Amino acid sequence: MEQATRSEGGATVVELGGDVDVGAAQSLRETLADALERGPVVVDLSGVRFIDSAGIGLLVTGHRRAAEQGVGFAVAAPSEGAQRVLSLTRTDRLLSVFDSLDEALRAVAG
Amino acid sequence: MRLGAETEQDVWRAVLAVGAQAEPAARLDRALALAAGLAEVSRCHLYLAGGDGRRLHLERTHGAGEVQLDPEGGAAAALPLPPLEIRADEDQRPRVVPTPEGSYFSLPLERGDELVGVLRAGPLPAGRLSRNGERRLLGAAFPLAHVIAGAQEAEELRRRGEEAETRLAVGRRLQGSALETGRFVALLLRLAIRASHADGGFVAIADQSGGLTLRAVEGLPGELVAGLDLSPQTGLLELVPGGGAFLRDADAAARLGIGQLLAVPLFDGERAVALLALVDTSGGGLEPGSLVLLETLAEQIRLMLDNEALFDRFVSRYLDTVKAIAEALDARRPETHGHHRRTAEVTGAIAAELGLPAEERAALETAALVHDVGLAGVAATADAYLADLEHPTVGAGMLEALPLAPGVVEAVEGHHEWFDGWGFPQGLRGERLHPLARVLALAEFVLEAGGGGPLGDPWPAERLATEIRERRGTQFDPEVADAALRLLDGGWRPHQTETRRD
Repeated sequence: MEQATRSEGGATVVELGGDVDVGAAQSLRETLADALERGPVVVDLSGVRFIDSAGIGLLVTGHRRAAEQGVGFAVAAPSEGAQRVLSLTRTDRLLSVFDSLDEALRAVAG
Repeated sequence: MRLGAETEQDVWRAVLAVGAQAEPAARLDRALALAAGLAEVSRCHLYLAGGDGRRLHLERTHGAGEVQLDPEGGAAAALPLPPLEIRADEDQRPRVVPTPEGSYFSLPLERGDELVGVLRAGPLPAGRLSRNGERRLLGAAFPLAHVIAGAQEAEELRRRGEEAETRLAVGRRLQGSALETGRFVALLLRLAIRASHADGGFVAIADQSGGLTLRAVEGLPGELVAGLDLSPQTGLLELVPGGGAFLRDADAAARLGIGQLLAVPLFDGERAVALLALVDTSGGGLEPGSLVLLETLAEQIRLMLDNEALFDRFVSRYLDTVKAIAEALDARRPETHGHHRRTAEVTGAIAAELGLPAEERAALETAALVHDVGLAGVAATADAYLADLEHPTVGAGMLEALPLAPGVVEAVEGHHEWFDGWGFPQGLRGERLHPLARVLALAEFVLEAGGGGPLGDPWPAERLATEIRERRGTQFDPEVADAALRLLDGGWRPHQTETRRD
């Protein structure tokens, strides 16, 4: 898994790539926890080849933590593979998923 | 029977002899013929109470197909038909009623407070019955009500027995498909594993609280399967009932050697009913291109599980029907009322004393609750002795196609066997007789000793203990007999009111 973090539009954008799976979980968990301490978070899945249930689990945990803290948390621009997993596992119902990064940023800023 | 000089006892005896007829329909025919003879009339109609209790419908007639000679012209003329329905409130007392056929004597047949039916005897040329005819018919009302009610109940049991047989036939077919279902689920799981380039996977069934139970496993190492925690609150996976599924604990997954895991929830409408999980353990990774195919395979697995759930419901309902038939048998006579339930109580006490595990106790309870149901299947057999001999086999036959716990069918079939091989129907001896059958056999004997059957008056506990001791090792398994003796010694009194039937 590749990951990069940057600030954009008042939120922390966590950009992920490659396979987001069990092996990547520890690193991603720390990244999301750090990002949530700073405020709203957008996870950009456009470069993700495959995301498994461990990756999805971390997104749901991030979403729940953000809700507890009262900050925005969104998933942006999932690749075809990521979108299919979100849909197949029906976790798109548990997360705020937006087609584009801009929409996600607007949503968490609002 | 001879008319005119008979006593009321003779009338009763004649009516009750009709009740011994094997076929319920034949009992009704004979009862009507006898009533016509007693009343000295040519025709008798029997009306039985319908569903709402306010109307009675014509069930059977005697002599209705006959013709009468027209006294004026001498030509033969068919008699008009009797009314097909009468009102219960108009026939509450014996009386003469006008009908299209002429005057008839109408006699309500009551058993206790229950109106079983109405008998109409006629036509009455003089507008009334003869003195002897009326006396005899009124005297026969009570036994006739019993015989007719008994015939109705026997007919109802026969019908329910037939219904159970039909359901059994359906069950056999469904069971076949249930076994197929298991194979199909495993096959679909293997296909999903292959399509997704996974190393293994599993299908788990979800309960209402989100807890999961493994249903099929393929290609996973034993230690991984053994370490899978699928409990609802803290387990590896979280299944949101109306939402989705995901991995709750990635660290635990890593410890089990899982590199990637994809958990696909299977939904029935809005409720997650199961989960398909594909696992990569070799590091090769799952194939994202397979996700479309996975959706199709997951849907097919869900359909298979639906089938299986349908079969489970069928089995449960079938068993309920069999229990209800057994209860209906008990209710036929006051002395057998509650026999199956009480048998279950007695077997439960002995099983607890024997320290049988919970599954065997549950199986024994099921067997006890239905053990005599075979009597419904042989209710119409003319030879009561044969019926008694066959009922364990018939009862076992009503259950054998169901996927019941081990021992249920064997216990039903063997509850009249003796430990030394001198029982029936198969004469199974010792270890060849299923352990649960040995408990049920002793329970049946204990309840027989409650009185009202072949063993005569109720036995006091001391006599029961003596008899069990004497039959220990011959009729009864010594271990089972010892358990019952310990219970009796401790003050257990299994039959205050119970009696036997078969």
